[in-house]
Amino acid sequence: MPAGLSVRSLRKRFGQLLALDGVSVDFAPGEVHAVVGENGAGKSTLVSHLAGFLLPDEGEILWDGSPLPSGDPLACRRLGISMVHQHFTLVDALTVLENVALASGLGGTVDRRVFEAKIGELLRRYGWELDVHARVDSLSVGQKQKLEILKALWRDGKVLILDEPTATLSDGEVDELFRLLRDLAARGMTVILIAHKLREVLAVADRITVLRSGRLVRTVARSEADEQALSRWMVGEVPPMEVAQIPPRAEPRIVIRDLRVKDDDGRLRVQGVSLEVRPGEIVGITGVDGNGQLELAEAVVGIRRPEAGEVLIDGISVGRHTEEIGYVPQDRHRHGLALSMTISENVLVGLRGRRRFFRGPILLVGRFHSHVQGLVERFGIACRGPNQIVRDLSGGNQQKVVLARALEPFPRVLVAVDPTRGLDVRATMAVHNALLSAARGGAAVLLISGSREEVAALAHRASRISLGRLEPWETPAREDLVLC
Amino acid sequence: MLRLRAVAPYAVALLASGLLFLVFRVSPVQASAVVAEGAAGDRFAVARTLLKTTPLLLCGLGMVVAWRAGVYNIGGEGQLLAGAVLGAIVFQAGGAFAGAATPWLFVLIGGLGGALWASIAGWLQAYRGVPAVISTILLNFVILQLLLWLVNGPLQDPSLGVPLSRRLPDVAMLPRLDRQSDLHAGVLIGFLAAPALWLVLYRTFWGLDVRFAGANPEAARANRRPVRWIQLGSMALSGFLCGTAGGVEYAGSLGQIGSGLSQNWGFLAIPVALLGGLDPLGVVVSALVFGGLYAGSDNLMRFTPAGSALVTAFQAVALLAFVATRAELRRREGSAT
Amino acid sequence: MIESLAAVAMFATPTALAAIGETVGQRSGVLNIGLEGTMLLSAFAAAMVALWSGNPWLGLLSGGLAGLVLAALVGLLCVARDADQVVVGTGLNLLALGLTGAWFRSLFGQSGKLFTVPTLPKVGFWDPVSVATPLLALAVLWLLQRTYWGLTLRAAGENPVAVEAAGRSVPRYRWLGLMVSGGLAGLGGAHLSLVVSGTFAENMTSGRGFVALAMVTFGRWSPIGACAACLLIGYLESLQFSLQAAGKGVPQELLLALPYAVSLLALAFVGRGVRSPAALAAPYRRTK
Repeated sequence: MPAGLSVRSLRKRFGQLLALDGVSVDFAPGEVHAVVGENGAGKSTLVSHLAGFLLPDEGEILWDGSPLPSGDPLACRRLGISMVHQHFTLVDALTVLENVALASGLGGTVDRRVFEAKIGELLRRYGWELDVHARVDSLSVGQKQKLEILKALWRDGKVLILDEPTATLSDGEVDELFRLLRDLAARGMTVILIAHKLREVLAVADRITVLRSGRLVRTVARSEADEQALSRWMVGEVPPMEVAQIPPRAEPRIVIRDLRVKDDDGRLRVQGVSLEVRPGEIVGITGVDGNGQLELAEAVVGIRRPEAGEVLIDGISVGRHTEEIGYVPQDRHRHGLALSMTISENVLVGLRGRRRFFRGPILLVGRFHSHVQGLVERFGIACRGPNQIVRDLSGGNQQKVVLARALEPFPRVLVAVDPTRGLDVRATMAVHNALLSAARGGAAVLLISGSREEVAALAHRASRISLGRLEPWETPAREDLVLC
Repeated sequence: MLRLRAVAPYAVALLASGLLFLVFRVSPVQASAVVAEGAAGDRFAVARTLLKTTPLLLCGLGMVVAWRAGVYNIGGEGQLLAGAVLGAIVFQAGGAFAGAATPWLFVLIGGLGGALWASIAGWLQAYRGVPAVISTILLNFVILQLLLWLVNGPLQDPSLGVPLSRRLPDVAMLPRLDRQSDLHAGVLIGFLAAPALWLVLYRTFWGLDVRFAGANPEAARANRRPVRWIQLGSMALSGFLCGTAGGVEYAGSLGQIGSGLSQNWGFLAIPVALLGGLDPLGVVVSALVFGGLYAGSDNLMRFTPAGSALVTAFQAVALLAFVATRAELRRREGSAT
Repeated sequence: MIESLAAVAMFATPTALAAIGETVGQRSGVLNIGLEGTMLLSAFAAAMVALWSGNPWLGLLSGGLAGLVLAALVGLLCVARDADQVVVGTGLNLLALGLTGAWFRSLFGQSGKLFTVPTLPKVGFWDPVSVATPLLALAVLWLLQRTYWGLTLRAAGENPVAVEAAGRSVPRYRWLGLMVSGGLAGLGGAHLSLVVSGTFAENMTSGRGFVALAMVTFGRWSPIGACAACLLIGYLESLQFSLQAAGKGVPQELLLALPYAVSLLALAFVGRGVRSPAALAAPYRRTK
């Protein structure tokens, strides 16, 4: 019986989607074990089971040989298994101490001195600077993560799971984190890490598990892996995609200069971005959520006013250009569609050049209905008709509605953010084809996506966005993306 | 299945309200008969029903506009009062000129009064983040006191010595439709306004803006719709409709304003609108039903002195049962997926 | 001087109790628009029970119980099932209006014959509930800030995901928040009929529930702040009597409008700057 955490033939379904398909892995104490894979590979799903946040449909999770109390995160925490989520589960309005107390699972009155003492001791041990009485919304991202780790370490942990911990950290903070993880492993803890950036994974992990589409590809020791091998195992076979044509030389259509944009809470998210996109070109920006993508996209489309810098479309400031920019927002449920309304209504609200469907103030129902019917056919939207409520459509079809609205009438500029998130393979291909044909038709396309594979396949050139700034990004060569 | 989902909430609402009558030891069957007689038994009853329907309908339509836009306007009552008050002020200030004016002018002024009053709350929500659900109610109380002060003071008819304003001359009152009853032309306004509002909501771009902003304000913003302006505009229109109801009451039925100006029509219009599915045509049906109920409620006095209060309770029980059933059906649907 | 202070406290108490309770409710993430209706029904229940039993304390208790029952109704609809909190609250207010009106008239006739109810015994100028209210505010503050219960409740209204991640149940804390809101509003309503008026009249709450809602915001979701803000409103309410007595020429109606107008101004003033509990009035669905 191996000590530590193990999963055997784990299977998990979410509706139609098979997220995990018979995965078996051993996580041994005293080592840093990384889990890697593309978006949707099943990494988060797998580790959520370990910490008790999900119940498996089939298979078992063992801790030191005995089954783990499934679906009970509090019980798992009592056993010493804690998880630091990718999206922090911190309460902004409360202090550091209160957040730790909340997670501690204790009862009665809060004894502040005990917390102050123990947190102080942990801070000293790791050499961290954190004001115990500071409100969480005043902390930096790196400090928030330390707080999350503190919460996890509170109960003399045996297993620490971290989901994408380096996503929004600076290089220095990443080094600090990795030192901590190595230290914890050296003390005998099992450290499990989900990561995206292969270079980092190779820097810190002892063993690496690769997942692809819910299946285990392999588990290897650090010495047996390198970046190219990992890439190959993660991505596997790429369906043949149209190689984007090299665009003709032309004046840039989108010009972004020294852009600085704040988010709704007043924090500066885009910190000096300059970029140009030519007609017929697809420019990609990749990176993990939270690095300023949303604010950048909104500024380029013209719905968020920048603090500094400018966005020019064909030489004119974007604010004047509402008719020519197609936008595929990141979260179709939050920003794209009103789920309770029909396909027609959702298309109409964002339709550019809608005058032709109105006589005076009155909508010409018949004419518009035909138009939407035409869109439904052209984009292959599976539905009962233009009057169907959008909520009843599948995710892929909902996204097609958003696409149809963005691409018809033909835009001079197209901005798409994570356009294939949560879609199956067929819907993804449809979206990719739509983007490619938009570029072929002469639109300037800005593609912002967390999927490196997508950006690598579609973009003529790409950058990485990190903490609001663009950094050069080596597009993995196409050969590396093909299964050998 | 779709049919069940639509019908069940009304069925449950009816059942629950029927139970209410039993609590007050009134037989629902007898009560229904007696109320029906009071609502439509003869021409006077029909007139009574239509007269009570009118403010419910107009304010109900006002609620539809605001609530669809996502602004919880609870101030229909205050906006109605504001409309009537503005009418009375203009009459007093206008002197002889106003006395010769067409009554429809007072209806329009009523609309303006309501629109202005509602816009205070609209502005407060859009630019100061004060939730309309609280500000509109507070404004209700403010205008009520304003009304009382005016009819006890500056607007009081000096020849009467009671808190009532100067009476509109007959020529300035809305034309009667029926010599013998109190039925006046103002009742037509609601029935004209309803299809007009339907047209605006479902066949114009502004109406789409209103519905979309109410359904998902963030998506509206992402589609470059000016959400703040939409909310302000719908509050103003909402107030206009409620204020028109005030104007109609003033220039149609009352001719003068006093402390008993409204019997909570603006407030009672909220369940009317909700039970009408927040749809202009549904509100017509709902307003007629409740207008009839209130008209017939005087007859309920034979069984219980509770009278119109019982109808109010009936409305409330119906609304809560309706909401509960819908919520339960939603939960069932969600777990079935 | 002491007498006028006691009078102010007495006027303020019903609204203050409702506000203190609603502070807890809103911090857990639930908006109880039905506060007004709760106070009205509880005022009625308290008056009736006190009248029939001859015991004002029993009346007070009944008021509190009535508040709990109504809060449970809101909880069933809004926490257990995701009904719209504003619609349910408005329905509740309407229900209270109709039920109290119907019951009152069926018992006492259309004319609304006046009656007096046994009132709570006073110590000097002070009634026990008025004295207890600020102490209650302090107790609630202690509960919120110093106990795990209060901590989890506050987290449930700010970031329910964090509460679930800590292994606790968000609906449970929202139910508790609602109970506190309803129970205290019920006591407030009872105080209104038993002490402040000494009788019941239709629609006697006159918007106090909404003023309480405004004061929760103005007091920045602190029980002490809300209580203090209600004292101010109580003072404005007492003005209608003191100024009249002094023979000043301010029209009574405008004085009556003052508490509402001031509440509105307070809200407009506080408006944008302040952060309400982040998850307020947003229905929460468990992810499993």
